[in-house]
Amino acid sequence: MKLTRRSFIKTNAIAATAAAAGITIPGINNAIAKTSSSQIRWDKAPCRFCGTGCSVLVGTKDGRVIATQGDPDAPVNRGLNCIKGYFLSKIMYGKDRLTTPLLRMTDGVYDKEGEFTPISWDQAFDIMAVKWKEALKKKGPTSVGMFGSGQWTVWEGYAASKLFKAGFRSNNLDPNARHCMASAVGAFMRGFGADEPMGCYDDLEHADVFVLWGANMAEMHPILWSRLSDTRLTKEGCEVHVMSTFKHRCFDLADNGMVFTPQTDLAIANYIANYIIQTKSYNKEFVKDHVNFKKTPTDIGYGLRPEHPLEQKKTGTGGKLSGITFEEYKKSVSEYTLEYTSKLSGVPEKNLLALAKVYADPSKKVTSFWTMGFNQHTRGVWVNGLVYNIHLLMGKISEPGNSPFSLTGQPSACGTAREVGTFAHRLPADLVVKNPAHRTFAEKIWKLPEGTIPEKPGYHAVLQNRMLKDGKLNAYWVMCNNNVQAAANFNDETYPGYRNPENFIVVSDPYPTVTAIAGDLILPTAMWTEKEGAYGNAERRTQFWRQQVKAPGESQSDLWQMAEFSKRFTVEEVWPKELIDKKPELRGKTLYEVLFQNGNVDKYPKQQITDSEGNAYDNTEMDHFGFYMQKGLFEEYRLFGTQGPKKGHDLGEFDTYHKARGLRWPVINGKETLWRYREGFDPFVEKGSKVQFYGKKDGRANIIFAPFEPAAESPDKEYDLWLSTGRVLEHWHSGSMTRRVPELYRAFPDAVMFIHPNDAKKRGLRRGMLAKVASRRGEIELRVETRGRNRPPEGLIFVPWFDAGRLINKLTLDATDPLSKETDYKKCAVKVLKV
Amino acid sequence: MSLVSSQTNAKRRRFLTETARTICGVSLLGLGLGFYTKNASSLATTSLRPPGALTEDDFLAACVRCGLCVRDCPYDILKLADIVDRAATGTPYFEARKIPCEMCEDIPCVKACPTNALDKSLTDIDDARMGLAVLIDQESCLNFQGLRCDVCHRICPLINSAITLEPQHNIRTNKHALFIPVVHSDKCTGCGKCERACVLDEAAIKVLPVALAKGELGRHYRLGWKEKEKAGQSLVTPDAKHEYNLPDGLKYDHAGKGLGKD
Amino acid sequence: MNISGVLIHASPDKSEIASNMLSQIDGVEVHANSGGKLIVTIEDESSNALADRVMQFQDMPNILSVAVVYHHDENNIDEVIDPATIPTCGCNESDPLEPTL
Repeated sequence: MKLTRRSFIKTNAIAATAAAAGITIPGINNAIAKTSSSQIRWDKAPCRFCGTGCSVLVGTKDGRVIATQGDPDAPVNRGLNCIKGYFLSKIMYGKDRLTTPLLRMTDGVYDKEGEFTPISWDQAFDIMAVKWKEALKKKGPTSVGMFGSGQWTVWEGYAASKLFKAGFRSNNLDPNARHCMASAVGAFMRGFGADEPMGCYDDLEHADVFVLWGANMAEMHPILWSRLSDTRLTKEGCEVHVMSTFKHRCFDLADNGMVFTPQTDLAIANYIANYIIQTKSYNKEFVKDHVNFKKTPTDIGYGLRPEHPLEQKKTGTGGKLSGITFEEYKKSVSEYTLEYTSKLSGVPEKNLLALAKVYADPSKKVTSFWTMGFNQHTRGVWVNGLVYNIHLLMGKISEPGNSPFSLTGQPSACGTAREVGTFAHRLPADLVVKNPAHRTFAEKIWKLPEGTIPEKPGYHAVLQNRMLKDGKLNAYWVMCNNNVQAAANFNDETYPGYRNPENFIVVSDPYPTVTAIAGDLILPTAMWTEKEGAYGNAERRTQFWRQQVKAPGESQSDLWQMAEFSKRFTVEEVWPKELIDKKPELRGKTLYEVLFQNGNVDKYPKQQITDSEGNAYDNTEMDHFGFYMQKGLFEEYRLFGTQGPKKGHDLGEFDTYHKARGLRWPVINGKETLWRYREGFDPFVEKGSKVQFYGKKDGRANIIFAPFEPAAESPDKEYDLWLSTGRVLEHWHSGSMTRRVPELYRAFPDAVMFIHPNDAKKRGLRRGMLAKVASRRGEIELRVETRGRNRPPEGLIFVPWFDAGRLINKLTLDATDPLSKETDYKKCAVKVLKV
Repeated sequence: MSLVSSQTNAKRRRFLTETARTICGVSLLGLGLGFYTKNASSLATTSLRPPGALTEDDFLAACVRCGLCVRDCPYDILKLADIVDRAATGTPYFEARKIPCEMCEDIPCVKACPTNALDKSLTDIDDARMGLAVLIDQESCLNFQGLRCDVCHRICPLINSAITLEPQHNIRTNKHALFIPVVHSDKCTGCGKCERACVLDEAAIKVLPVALAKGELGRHYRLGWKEKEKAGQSLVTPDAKHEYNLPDGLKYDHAGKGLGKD
Repeated sequence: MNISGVLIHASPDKSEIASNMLSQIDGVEVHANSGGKLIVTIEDESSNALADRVMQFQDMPNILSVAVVYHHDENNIDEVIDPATIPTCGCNESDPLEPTL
């Protein structure tokens, strides 16, 4: 029943009049009581936004989420939320929510240059199937692809992986986590042979010293920052060291704040290693027992197109490691003296020394945090690794308070993108497509003929855009992200591919984002609690939620869309005869039957979902497909962790997650693991070995020397300023949700350029004036901000990227880390002009 | 709009109708009333209404500027606004910094009011909401600097209820606590004693009209721990027991301190 | 929009007739009749109309007294009450949702 003010007031009028007359009217008091909060159904869910993974209670009434509250029983946030979390209940109800599929049409037929026209789901899948089959026939599996998300639920990522890597036999599946966490993944794999942090958020209470390397936790991980701050305030001797290329809010708490010249973090990390060795402070026993020394190829280019001059110039390639001795390592880092590093980085010697000292002090527990400052870096894998080097030299790792901690950006970059392995080179639970044993194992679990999954890694995120532009990737599906706004070099590399007449672009989104309107077919999509879901946060905590409400109009979840689309293909249409002959029982079956009715995924029959209070919940996918699809997918996925070739990836049973505020994996016999690789804390570590990095065959982690190398593009005479991009607390990523909350919009309406007052003055600019920012690739206009939360040094400007009306990615360069293929969004050269 | 104030509104309406009948001949007064009512919104932030006053618009509509409340105030706290004062002329008000309300138990001013502009349903002076104390200047408040003043706290007629002191760690000295005065709006009557007593040259704590002082939480959000306290239990069933892989001698408290010794 | 709750005393034996007559009037609803005590709501566009209605009731046969107990005046009364109701986002000169391609 829709309650209007009218009926509410009338009920009050009747109640008041009846009370005056001493009459009771049955139902009236009930009607009033029903409007009170007691009738709200509360259930738990992780927040939709960042990788912190705060839990919220979601209040639902009459089929609508009307309120939320921080979950006081959640260990991560204990009832607190940041300002984005405070407005969670409003993100699903923006006025321009999409409710029907929209296809570009002219005169009733598809036309790449046509107007978006409402169509039915059947029509949408019809045209998609035509375009997919056309592409497959013409150019084979490498001409179809998907761009996914670290904001997908676990089973959506898993279903996408099955559909593309097995169904279409295309590894052209990559998540937006490529822009976010790929460098972290690369360094974890190189250093430890297993992805994701060894520590957990409890390090925030156990550390004596915090070091921030390129992370603005105060704005990007606000709840973790309040835990860190509290430790700083209440623990005797606690220190906070903050490094960044500009001053931000974390500097307010910093005991040692350091602004360094972009890219010189490579040198700073090597200086600290050098200091530790020179002062003989390193942990000899730990180094002897648990570490190997390696070096990496150098001068490896900048992940640009091969014909780019910078790529032509490079002398090295790839990341193949070679063994070195401790003495060789010592010699390699020895050139990073205090004097040299201070001069290169612009950080005063005394600050660098203070930082080196806390790492080198064996009595101090140090936790290092980093996020995009390290990951979005043309040497991202290197620089991640250089901090591991420091922790490994000191043995300050894998125990409470001693933690090199890579923070995650997205709510399920860990849970979905990394653990499920939705990257172009990966399979679930740290397996990779290149490894034949890994492919065979996946094919066995998925009950597919051997050889189904292609060996060659697919197009990664940046390459997907290039291949779209070059006409090599033709049928393309973007889900749960806004890559036209997010990808670097919009004018040269993103937009042309979307509008390339050879290509058909499908975008699934709840809102008409920049990406949606750049595409050809828009699919209206269920979001957050409009579907049952699971996310995995940065401390390996997997959290589930139930579907709370139905999605508006004809919107459907990503999972529904993929499963439904798979019904449009028979194996004969997508697989070669030789492959089908290996499993003749699959003949004539649809991909839906092969992938989702394989006895695993459809194992759990339809049931009424209830919580412990007896409240009933919808499950749209279960109603539609006739079985508990989410549970079937998760239980099948779980086999990769419990039976797969890489140990230490065990997840708990599906049902247990609905009963808990998340569990931190590996979960062994119902027990969570807080610190990995340390005997006692981690059951996979053999007795008596104290520490064992069991991701590597010999149980040893790698200390990998990598030198300082300059950025792809540095300021010069014409483009005389560095541009760094990033986020603000009020907005999540491209703002497609938070900019639809009026209060958040009001709090930070439009992107501005944060610039040093002297730089502004030199260009005749004052605060609040409109100015032009231009790079070699594009230009936009922004208001000048010389005050406020971010204080860049002279020579650098910072611009947030949330604003669809001011696309800063028209300026950024698509240079990537050649190892992780992650874009460097923090460094390119621009000029600022008066308009 | 709540039921209670709606009934008050209705009473007010009946009164106005009756009053209109009795004075309808005095057109000049009628015009004058209208004139003053139109200047309703100009109450100065330092001017507080007597206990039981209706919300400002309703109060102005109902107050007939008779001055009976002022006459009956035993401490000469209440004044009638002059034409030069920033309250509507003829209406009663007081200024906390000059002379705060003594919170008489029998509330004579309300009793004196002939029109219910001062609401007769106010019978316990602790329920009065003349304004709300706001610690408006933390930079000069001595307690925020770590000094032990807390005069406002100690003079408060509802000490430890309307104003409490919340200890916090003093980062600067690293060995003392700061005692931060916190005003609780569900208890503060707005009497003005704290503002009057504040030892600074200009008070750091000021009593403001409630409408001016209060923020309001969006209705789409609740404070989780308060809702839990209200319900007496978790709104969503607490977790099944968590178990952890741990070395001997250590335990992990899921809901409390985290890792600790067994 | 005005909504009022009115308590009407009617002659106990004729109260059904009075109730029926009242129900005929636009915007008037009778919600209960307890021994001649009628619980009535009036919905009207202007508050003057309330006074007119009350006068009208008083002049009707079988009605002994009329008392206004509850009165509420508010605009936009047909808005769905919902804390999560999203006002549109056009809160400044530029439309925040309009992407520039």
